[in-house]
Amino acid sequence: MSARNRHPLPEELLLAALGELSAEEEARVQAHVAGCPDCMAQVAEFQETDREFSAHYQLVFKPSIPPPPGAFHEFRSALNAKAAVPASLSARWRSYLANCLRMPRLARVVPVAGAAVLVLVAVVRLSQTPVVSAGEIFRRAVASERDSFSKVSHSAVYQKLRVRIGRSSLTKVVYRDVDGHRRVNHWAASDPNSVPSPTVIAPDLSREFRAARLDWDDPLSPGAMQGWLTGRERAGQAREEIREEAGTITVTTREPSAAVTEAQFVVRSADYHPVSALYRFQGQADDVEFTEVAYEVRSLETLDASIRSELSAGSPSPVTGSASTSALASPHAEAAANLDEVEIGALYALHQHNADLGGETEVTRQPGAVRVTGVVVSDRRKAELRGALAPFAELRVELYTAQEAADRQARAIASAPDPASAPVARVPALRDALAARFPDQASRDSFVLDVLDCSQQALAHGFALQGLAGRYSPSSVAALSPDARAEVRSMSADHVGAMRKRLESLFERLAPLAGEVQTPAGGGENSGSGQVEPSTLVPDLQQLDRIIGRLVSASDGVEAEADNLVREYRQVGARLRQALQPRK
Amino acid sequence: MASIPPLMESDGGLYLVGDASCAHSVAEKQRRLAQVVELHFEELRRPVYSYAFSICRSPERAEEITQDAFLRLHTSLQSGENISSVRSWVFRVAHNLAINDAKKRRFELPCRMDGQDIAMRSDNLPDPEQQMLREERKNQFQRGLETLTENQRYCLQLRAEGFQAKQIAEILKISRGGVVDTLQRAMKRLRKAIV
Ligand SMILES: [Zn+2]
Repeated sequence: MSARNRHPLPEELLLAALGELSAEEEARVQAHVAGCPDCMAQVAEFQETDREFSAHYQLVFKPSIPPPPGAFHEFRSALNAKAAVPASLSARWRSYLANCLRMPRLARVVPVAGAAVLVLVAVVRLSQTPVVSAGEIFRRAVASERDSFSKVSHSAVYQKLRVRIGRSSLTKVVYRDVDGHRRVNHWAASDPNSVPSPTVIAPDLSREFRAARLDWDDPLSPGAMQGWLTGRERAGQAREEIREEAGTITVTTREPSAAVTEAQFVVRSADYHPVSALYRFQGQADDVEFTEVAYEVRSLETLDASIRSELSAGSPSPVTGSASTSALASPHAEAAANLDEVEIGALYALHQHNADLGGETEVTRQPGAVRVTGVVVSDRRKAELRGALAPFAELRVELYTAQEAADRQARAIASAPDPASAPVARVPALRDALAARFPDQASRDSFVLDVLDCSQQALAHGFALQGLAGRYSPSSVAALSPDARAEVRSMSADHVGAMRKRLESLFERLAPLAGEVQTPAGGGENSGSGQVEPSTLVPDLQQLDRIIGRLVSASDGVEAEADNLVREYRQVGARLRQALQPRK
Repeated sequence: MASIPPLMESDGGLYLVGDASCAHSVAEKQRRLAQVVELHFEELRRPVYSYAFSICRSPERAEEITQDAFLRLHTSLQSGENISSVRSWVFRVAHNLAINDAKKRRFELPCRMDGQDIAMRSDNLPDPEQQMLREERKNQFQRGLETLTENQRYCLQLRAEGFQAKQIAEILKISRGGVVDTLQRAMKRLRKAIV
């Protein structure tokens, strides 16, 4: 008993605030904190300071740092120098992947995920990707909440809320059993003689809430916010105002003629966790604001025994989000929203295993389904990613090891031969030139693989660039935080730089066989803007890749075609060189 | 030849995937090792650069330190060192490099943690009132941070980078208890300046 009454050390309170205590410590500290307003305030204060400093560090300090003057260019050459190996030695690995990834002419028979396994792409953290719509914000809030639940077995939420009605305010503590859908509210008052109850506080307002299909008891759940938005969209009132500042995003909806005339939701930019909600009602002078003072997801077992027994005795209270969403949304919209969650959940799970890099996997949305496809390096990696995706029952996962993908292709080729090309012996258009230059079969193969690899990588960078451009239009980039904007820019610049490097190396290798690619004149038409336009770049890169494939590996055996192919190669090459000309 | 152990990062990091059934040549391992280091570099270079910059205050030096840290990572992995968390490892190396660099040039360092081009970066805020509020907030943090010791600042920054107390202890080479004590003092002091 006495241990329970002694205040924990400041260090223990800090660790409690940061969620870094062991289970027993946590139980002990929490048992005290739950009954000690001072310590509870201290924990909340630590959490707030931690949150605020992180926001300052990430959103103000970091973006203010001057960029690295050399753009880290030295690093790659230094690393390459350290890791330099003769090309012929690494040829086997390349041919292994090249077999799986590049199927000239047959790519349309079995599309194998992405063309970019070898490519290194900068990481976009989910939490830093920008927000474009209120729907997107709340979807992420829901995904983020679910993610926080999944980290703790049998999660319980401890949440302290300040409820302000007009000028008076009260504090309540909510304990929520996530899986059991049960909830306990404890109202706290500074004056111990007046223990308020919700019905006493605001009988009218809680009725207003129900009328507007809001949940008075769980006003800050992301699901409730999502439900509110869905309802408005269905009612054709889908105008929201989104503001991002100082580490938070505020979504405001106004509808002067509705029961709720204004609603304002605030979520943290870092993890989309809702921190406050404000409502104004038709004909009511008092607005209502809920502000989170403390929030923690912990294991149910670590809660105080009395709270646990209250929770298990309480009647089940459906968790708001699902209830209000299903009440408002059509089954179709609900299914779609659920798939959005599955999609983000899957993306996030893959992201955590770095499988969203370089096209190792791809998440695609189909009518009524979300699909994950990919070619991975080994069985172990496959098992790992399958494990990460296991929680999403709705997901169609198609992962193959490189070997399996090659086998599948071989089978597909056997069962579905391309009638036009099957009987034709396929030889490179430059067969003779290749043979003359590389009399030795091994060095010829190595050269061909190198060339194909370069072309493939240039194309993969083009796809990555196109993906970025598609995801982030100029207007959505303008809406990003400075940090995120800088990341998008630096990723684009990286891709353009890498693409240029690959192409130059390609042109250099092919020069002895197919001639030089023309260099654009100094004051070329594009040199002024320096803009790279992925929508024209990618088709050119694809064409170049096709041409090169036919030149060095598999043409239709029409040798007379070689001259035409070489001419096309130089044309497309010159166009690409021009498009990628470095900015003046 | 030194064999490369499977590289694993406990906190959801990268795997250098070893396929036991398939004997890759040394060159392939080399290539994949470089690839893995480059992936880590892509992912971590920004936070590491920011952290190094906050200590040494020079973009040129911070860039060198960042690159150096990852080249050292390559060397260590190549020599077979078992690195349990690449992220902590790289931050630790960058921290030491930056501290040593800062010691050498102590006289020329302004001890500030704000930015030079902040006005330019916040150009998406047209509202002057908001701008002022933001500026005021920034100054509050600035004043608060100036009252902190170096270690207190490092702890806060690493915490803001998402490290737990145990990892911060590894990076700064002090005890976990020391980190927790430093952090709680830092937060209380900072709190005074920002509310
Ligand atoms: Zn206490």
